[in-house]
Amino acid sequence: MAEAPIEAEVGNDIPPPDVMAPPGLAPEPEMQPTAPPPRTGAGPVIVRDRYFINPDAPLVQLDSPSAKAYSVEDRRDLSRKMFALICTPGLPTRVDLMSAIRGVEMEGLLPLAEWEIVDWPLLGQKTMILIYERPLGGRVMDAIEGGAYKLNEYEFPRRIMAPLVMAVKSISTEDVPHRAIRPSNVFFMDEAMQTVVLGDGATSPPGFDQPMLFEPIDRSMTGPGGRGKGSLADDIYNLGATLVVLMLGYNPVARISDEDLLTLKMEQGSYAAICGSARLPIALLEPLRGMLNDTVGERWGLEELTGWLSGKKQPSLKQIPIVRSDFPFQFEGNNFYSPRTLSRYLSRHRETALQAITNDALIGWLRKGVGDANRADGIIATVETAALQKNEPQGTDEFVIAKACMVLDPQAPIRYKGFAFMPDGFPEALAVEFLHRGDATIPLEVLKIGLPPVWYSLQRAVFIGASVQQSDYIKLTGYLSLNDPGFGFERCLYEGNPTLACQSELIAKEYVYEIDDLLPALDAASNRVDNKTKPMDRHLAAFIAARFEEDIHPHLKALAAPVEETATIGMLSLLAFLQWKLRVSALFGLSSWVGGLLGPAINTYHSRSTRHEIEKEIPRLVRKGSLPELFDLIDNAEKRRSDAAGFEAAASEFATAEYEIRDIEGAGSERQSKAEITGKQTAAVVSVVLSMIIASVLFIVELF
Amino acid sequence: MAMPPNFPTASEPPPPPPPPGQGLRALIWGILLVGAFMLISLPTVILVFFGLLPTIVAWIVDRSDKKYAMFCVFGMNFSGLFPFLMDIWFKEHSTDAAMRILTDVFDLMVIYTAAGFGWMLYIALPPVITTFLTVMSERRVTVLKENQKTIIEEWGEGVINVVETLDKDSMNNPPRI
Repeated sequence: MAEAPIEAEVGNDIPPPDVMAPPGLAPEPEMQPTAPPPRTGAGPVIVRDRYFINPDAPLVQLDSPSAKAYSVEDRRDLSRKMFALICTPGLPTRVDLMSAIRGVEMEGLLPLAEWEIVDWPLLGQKTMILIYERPLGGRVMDAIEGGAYKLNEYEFPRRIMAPLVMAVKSISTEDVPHRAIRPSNVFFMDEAMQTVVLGDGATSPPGFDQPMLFEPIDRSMTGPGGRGKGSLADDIYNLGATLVVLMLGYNPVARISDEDLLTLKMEQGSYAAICGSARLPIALLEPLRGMLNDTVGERWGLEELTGWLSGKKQPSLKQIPIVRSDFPFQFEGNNFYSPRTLSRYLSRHRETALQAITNDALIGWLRKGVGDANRADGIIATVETAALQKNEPQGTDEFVIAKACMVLDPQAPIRYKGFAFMPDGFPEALAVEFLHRGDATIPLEVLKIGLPPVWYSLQRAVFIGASVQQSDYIKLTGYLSLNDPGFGFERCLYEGNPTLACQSELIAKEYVYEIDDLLPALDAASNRVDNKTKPMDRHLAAFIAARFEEDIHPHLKALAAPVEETATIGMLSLLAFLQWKLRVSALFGLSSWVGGLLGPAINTYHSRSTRHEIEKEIPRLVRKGSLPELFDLIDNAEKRRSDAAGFEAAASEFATAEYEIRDIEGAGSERQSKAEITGKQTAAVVSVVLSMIIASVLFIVELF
Repeated sequence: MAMPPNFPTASEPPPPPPPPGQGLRALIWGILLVGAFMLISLPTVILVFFGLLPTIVAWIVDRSDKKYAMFCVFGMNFSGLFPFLMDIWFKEHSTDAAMRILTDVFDLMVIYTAAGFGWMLYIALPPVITTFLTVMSERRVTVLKENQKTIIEEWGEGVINVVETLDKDSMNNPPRI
């Protein structure tokens, strides 16, 4: 049971999926009490009409730190033993890894039969589940610790090491690192304990469940969420540390704290720190030294490992000396010989770190002791640049500390205000920070003040993926700079984590991580959500923007409008566009929900009769469940044109009438005098005309 | 779109003064004309002169440009005089006959009463016309307001904004005088 304390410290930030025990208090799988858990009364959960997961049959011995195990029955093959891992909702999972290994027999890997999102009764919400073949022999470490499995140094390479190397090799062909290689994740596939396989690595972000011992120096300095995607080299390091523990049957550094172990690794190298006091077989020293090499370029690869396993002699290992000084830099009663350890210390003691950074003795130590003038100049430049940007974010003490730590140890993760992450693990770190603390202010500050570009600029060697990562950061910074719906922090969250479920409160329990499932989830939510709430929020908009391949900028622009009416039309247009493009069938609930919110949109029509017509028509379209038709009713171009023209004509008529009224009423005495003049004129005309008539009549009478 | 009418912002300019010497010329022409008429028909001239005395008075009294009072009085005055002119022209064309008419109180009463009727017309008709026009205007305002109400009911209060916008525009850009 030596493995238990190692794993007790990881994955303690996110509660496990069913018990939700307080962090750190959750017992290790191996230490679970044997008493049967209370029955839930819920029936089996069926996956793809084939796999029956029994919520009343937990398999605590197969739990992983971020997922709970339950018994599974395959209805097509009842003899097949399987188990399901129920993931922690809200924790990003690795769909890329699942897709790569599902249904494929990969040598050395626990076969993944299926993965699916199901409604898990114990959680009362949907979550990701993975169905694996059940390893009948249990965990290798348990067997070794319990004395049920014994092997000598000669059998170890063939029976343990070779299958695990094959597992890494298999997974490397998919270009997806496993990042969960640790002793407790190695199983015997058969009851006879002959076949060794590597367990699950997809239920949590890369490296999330890894104890610090098994992670390379740089990645072990981050929080669980910020370990980064990593690469084959990281898998090989994980494997090297795992093999040490499996070979010995115990953790050789169990009594050393993580912090001390990390310091030892930095000052002596990983191999010396882990294997230093252990009695390892001489034959294994060479591969272990190769796998635990801290210089990634010099670390053994698959070629060397398979070559060694087949008995070929490998080229001698090149050890890059660790950068250290002959005399210490003293700070707060500590003696630092290596800039790495100093960097680590400063990042963890930010309140006093600036005293060391601005201390001339540090510059002298870097120049004379460490013999690295570049680092000394880098520290000076950092302090001087900050002084010039006193009022900018780049002039703050926290920025100076973060940058100085990078200068001292360029390979270390980015560390800012206690938030540490490897640059290839920012999205996962952001997600974990947000999901765990509900506040991602610090990761977003990191983006805003541009720390990742500083980190890349300080790297002395070019590495694969650097340019892609940098362009990703540029994109994320761009998204963050806009605060409209569909952008901002939420967009960064979903762009960076392609498999993260939508975190909108409306559908969080539906575990929607694919765009196709969004509208049905909203449709289902319409029954339980207050229908005065809009079926659109910042998370939904960002999720759609990140996952939907069509151009939705016009919709987002309308959605962002400060005018309520325009925003409502924007929401409807976006949802209608989704239904139309994704060919989603009738959405009665959502249509009814949206239909009830269209008041402001209908009011954008000027004509009352048009509005009445639309209001009368809505119930019919709601019964059809068609958002595109609803949108066409609300925002028909011809109807809009006609309404606008009618309004213009009406306004013109109103204005003409208004000015005529003003002309009549406003004239006052002028009108009175006009009327008098008209009266006098009329009297004169009447008089003259009468005289003419009288004269004519008299004249005619006289003549005849 | 109807544009606001340009209300007069200043009083209309006074008519230009008649050129010098024009009054004298008119007087000479008047004397010549009257002289000619006197040569042709002295009884007519006498009858017209004395018969149209109310018109002459009205011409003097009426200080307005258009001389509506004079025309009112003239019309009725002439109507009263015309039968006697017919007597002169068709029965006895002599100065005695003219004088006889002018000295007959009944005849004079007919002529001057007719002129008085003309004056009454001038006094009584304008208020009637004014009242009539006011009633017509009020009716028109009522109809227009009804139309506006209907427009607002159908198209909403937004139509009022158009008028307000036009008002603002006309305030910002007043018509040039």
